[in-house]
Amino acid sequence: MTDLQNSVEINGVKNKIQRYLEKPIARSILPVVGLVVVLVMFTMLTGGKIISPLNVTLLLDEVYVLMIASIGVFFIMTMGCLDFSQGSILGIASIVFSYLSGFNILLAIVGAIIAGAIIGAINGFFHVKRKIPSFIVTICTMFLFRGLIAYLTTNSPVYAVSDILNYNTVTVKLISTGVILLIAFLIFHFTKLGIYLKAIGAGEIGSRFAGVDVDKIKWLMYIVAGMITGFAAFINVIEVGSVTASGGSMFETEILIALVLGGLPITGGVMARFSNIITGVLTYKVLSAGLNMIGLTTQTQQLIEGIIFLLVVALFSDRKSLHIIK
Amino acid sequence: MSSSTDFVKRKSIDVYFKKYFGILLLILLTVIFWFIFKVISPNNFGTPGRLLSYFQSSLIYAVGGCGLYFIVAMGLWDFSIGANLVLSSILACYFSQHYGYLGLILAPIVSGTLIGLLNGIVYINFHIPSMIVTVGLSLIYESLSVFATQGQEQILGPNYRAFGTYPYNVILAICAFVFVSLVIKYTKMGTYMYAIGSNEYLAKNMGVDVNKFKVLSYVLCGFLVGIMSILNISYGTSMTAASGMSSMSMNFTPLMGTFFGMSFRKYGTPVIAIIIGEFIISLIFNGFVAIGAPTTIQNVVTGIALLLIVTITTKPVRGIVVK
Repeated sequence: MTDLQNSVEINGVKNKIQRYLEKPIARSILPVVGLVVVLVMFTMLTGGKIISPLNVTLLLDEVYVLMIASIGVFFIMTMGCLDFSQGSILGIASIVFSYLSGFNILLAIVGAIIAGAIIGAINGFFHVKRKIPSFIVTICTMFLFRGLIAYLTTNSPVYAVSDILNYNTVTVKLISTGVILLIAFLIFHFTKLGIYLKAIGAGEIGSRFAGVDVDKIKWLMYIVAGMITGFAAFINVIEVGSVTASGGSMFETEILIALVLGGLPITGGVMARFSNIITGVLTYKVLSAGLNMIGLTTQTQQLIEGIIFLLVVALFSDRKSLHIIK
Repeated sequence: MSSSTDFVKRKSIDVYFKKYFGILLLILLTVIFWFIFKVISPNNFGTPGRLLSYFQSSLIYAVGGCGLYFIVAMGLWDFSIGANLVLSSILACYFSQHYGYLGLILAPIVSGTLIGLLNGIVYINFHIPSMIVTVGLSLIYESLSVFATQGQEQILGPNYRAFGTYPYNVILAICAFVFVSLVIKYTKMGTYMYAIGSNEYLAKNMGVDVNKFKVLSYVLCGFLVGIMSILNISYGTSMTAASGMSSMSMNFTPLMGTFFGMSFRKYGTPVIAIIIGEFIISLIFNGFVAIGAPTTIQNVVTGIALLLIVTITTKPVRGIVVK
């Protein structure tokens, strides 16, 4: 009897938590609370070292590329799709940028963006026209282009022109990131496209009946995400000056973890918030920098990141819209 | 009377033909690929001895492909089999040092099965799409593999390498194939697997305990990855821990075999299709090596091949919702 009562009580508490989590306000506040908690926790654990001016500058340096590339993936995930090829896009675009940087820096940026757009278009083609699940398509292209990156860097890293590091200033990086964030914010909140993205995530068939050209928008978003990451390659190369075989590896996982930590539901839809990008990327970077600073080994960090990732996905998954979970 | 006998006869020929059509098609594909590479590189490709060696290496992936078949036929995914393979192979190495062949066989089977069980339990209880769960979990398995080895390469002792060579590797693989065929053909699991794959709602309403069979499919997949680990470590003889999702690449070769199995299941021979499919993939890989393509280009070939296989085997239906 007591067992039964206990289990009823536990279920009651579970349901209460579940109901609370489904409130929009909880979804807006929780990721920010998460960021603050992580920041406060590591400030205490590192004796304030993590918020020292030098460390904050270092932390921000790591944020730009991830922040920019996350914007494109955010659009894709809002539609309920996934993109696992971003790391390879970053690698290939960085190689293209490095090759072209010898001629002209603007040409190099355009080249990187075009390279990203092409890979995005390939992803979009197979997903939209051949109806292959986005995760499968992008995991194939991830693998394919990772092979190509390894091939192109077999003998030596691909070096950009030597004075490229001159562009590595806070002004360039901050302005670039800010401008892209602003444009994306305006598009997401003040254009039809932003509404369509959420509508597709919430109910694809419904939005199709409402007159949204779902296929066109999906394909467009894959191209846009590729272009944005193509641009991120510019920031990536000015920071390091060259591309190695591991260029962009695990980047796709970083983006996925960051966005999920920011509270973006895997299923996309109306619960997607633009702030997810910023809180997510910052939380992820503070978390990994903090874990690193308290002296944990890489494998312990990966273990903790994996556990946190699963817990947060479970916490924010939108169960109402998912009747069947495959 | 005679017309009905004719009808029965014709029908049995149809069934007979259909049953073997898939296999014939696969064999034809094999011959075509063999022929192409043989023409391009007649000296260092495709002699009978080499074919046998390609076949033996493809058996490893075919066992994993059979395991994944249980998952993919249900419409689910498992992207943690690479991490499972790494961890189980490492444990096989370690336990073989202490318990000999018993450790080599039992350790990876137990660890593979437990990982499968964990995948299933987390997937069911967390209500997260299977591909996300298994990607997240593989981060954890990879880090466990680093913990287990402290970054050292694990080498299998020379006395315990029987499953890496003929005939023991073939015997073990055949045991796995027979097991999978029997499960698919004669157990509830086989029937319900297809039922859940084609319409989960309907299966649930018919009284199938969907969650139980989903967990069971992960357990079976993990079990077969355990067997795959024995073959893998015996053939390769060493294993390094994975990190940073590097184990992801090990998911693809078994997955390609699974896709062969899925597309040929209409002929009723998924396991044979997986075996021949993996052999074809092995032929293509070795063909490229024989031509002199750099090894780094192999991943490109794998990516393109996988994309093509999925493209060919998926029938795009207008208006279908695919996320």
